[in-house]
Amino acid sequence: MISFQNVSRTYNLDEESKITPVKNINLTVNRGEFILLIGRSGSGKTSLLNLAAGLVKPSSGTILIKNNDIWRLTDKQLSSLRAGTIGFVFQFPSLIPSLNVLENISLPVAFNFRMKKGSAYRRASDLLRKVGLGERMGVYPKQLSAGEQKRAVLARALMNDPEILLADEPTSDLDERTEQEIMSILRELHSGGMTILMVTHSTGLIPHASRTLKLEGGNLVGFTSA
Amino acid sequence: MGGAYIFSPDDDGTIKLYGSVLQLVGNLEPTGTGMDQTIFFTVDTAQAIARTSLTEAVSPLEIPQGEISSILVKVKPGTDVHAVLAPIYLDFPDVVPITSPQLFGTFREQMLGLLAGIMVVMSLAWILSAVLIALVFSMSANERQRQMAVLRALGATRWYVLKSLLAEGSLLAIAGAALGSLTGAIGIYIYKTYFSGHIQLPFLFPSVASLLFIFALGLVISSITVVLAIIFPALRISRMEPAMGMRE
Repeated sequence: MISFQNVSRTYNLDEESKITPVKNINLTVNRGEFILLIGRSGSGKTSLLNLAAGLVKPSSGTILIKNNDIWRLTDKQLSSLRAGTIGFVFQFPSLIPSLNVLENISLPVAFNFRMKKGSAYRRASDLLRKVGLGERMGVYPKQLSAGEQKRAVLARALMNDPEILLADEPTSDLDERTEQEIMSILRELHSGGMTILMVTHSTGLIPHASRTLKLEGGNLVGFTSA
Repeated sequence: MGGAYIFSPDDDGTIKLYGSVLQLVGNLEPTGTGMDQTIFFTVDTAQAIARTSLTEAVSPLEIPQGEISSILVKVKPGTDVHAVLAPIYLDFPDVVPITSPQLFGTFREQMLGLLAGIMVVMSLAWILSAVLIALVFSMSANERQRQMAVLRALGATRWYVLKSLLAEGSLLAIAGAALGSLTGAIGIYIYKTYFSGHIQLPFLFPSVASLLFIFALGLVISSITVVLAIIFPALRISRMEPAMGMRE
C-alpha cells in the first residue's frame, strides 16, 4: 500500500546547520495493516508520517502509494491522491475556526468531487454521531474540548472514505476514557479493512496494532508484531 | 435666457420679476460660476422692467442713467474678435473687455495646477497603499499558514490556495473601494459649496454617468492594485510544502 525506499529527509536550519529527521528508511505498509510508530520526541515520527502523506518531499529515495511514485505525480494528481485516498489526523488543533463543526467535517468534499453537498452533510452528520459529536454539529471549534476536537478531526479524516489513515498522536493530551473511545473507533476502522499508520508516545497502545515500529534518531531500530 | 439653475416657479415657462412677467426661452449649460444663477435679457427689457416696477413691484428697480456694469457682446460666427475689441479699447478706456476663452482659460489654468497637485498626492498615496497592503496581507497570510497547509493536506491544490488568497484580497479590495468611493462622493456632495468657496474656483458636481464610471474605475484600479500587492506573498504560501507550513 505504502512503500518507502531508501527515504531520507534533510532540513536546512540555517546556512550552516542541517537536521535529518528521517534517514534512509525502507518500509512497506501492507493493505489493511494497523501500524504504530513509536519513539521519543524528535525521533522522526511526524516527519515519516508527513512523507507518507506527500506533505513533504524526500531529499532522497522514493515513496510509492498504491505502486505510484507520488513525487512523479503532478500537483493536481498528488492533491487528488491526498483527497481521495488518504485521511490525515493532525497532532495540532487543525479545525478551521470560522467554520462550525459540521462545515469543518464536510470540508474535504470540496477537494474530492465524488460527493454532492447534500450527501456530504448527511455523511458528515453520520460521522459526527459515530465519534460521539452528534449534538455538537453547529458549534465552533473553540467551543469544543481538546478531546472533542481530536474526535472531530478524526471524523474529518474519514469524510472521503480513505483507504489509508495517517494519525499523528490522535490520543495525546486526552484522558484515559477519551483515548479508549478514539482507539475503539480506530480498531473498528481497521477491522473494516482500513490501513492505519499512527504515531504515538504511548506504549500502552501497542496491543491495538498489528505491527509496531520504533524510530530513533530518524532510523527504524525495531519492530514488534502482534 | 436663464443660467443653468434658473427655472420657472409655476412650471409654465414664465418668471415674474419686479412685477413684469418674462418668458424663459431657454437655459445655458452649467458653468459652475455665478452665471448659472443669472438671467440674461436685453437693455430694453431691463428698462421696461424698471418702468413697470414703479407701479407693480414692492420696491422699484432703479437703473441709473449711463451706468452699466457689464455688456455681453455676441458676435457672429467667424468674426475676428480682436477687430471688435480694438475700438472698445480705443473709445472706452475705462472698460475692460474679456473674451470668453480668456474667462474660462483662467479657470482652466487654475484647475490644471490643482489637478497636477492632486495627481502627485494620489500617486504617492497609491504607492504607499500598495506597500501597506502587501505588508498587512503578508502578515495575515503568515498567521494562517498552518490553515493553508491543512487545506493542502486535505487535498487542495496549489492553484486552489493561490486562488483563494487572491479572491479574498480582491473581495476586500472591492468592498474597501466601494465604501471609500461612496464616502468620498457623499462627503464632496455635502461640502461642495464649502470647497467651491474655499478654492475660489467654479465647481460642478459630476453627472451620474461620470460618477458611475469613476466608481467602476476605482473598483478596477483597487482590485488590480491589491492583486499586484498580494501576488508574491500568496505565491510563496501556495508553493510552500504543506509540512513546512504546519511547522511555522
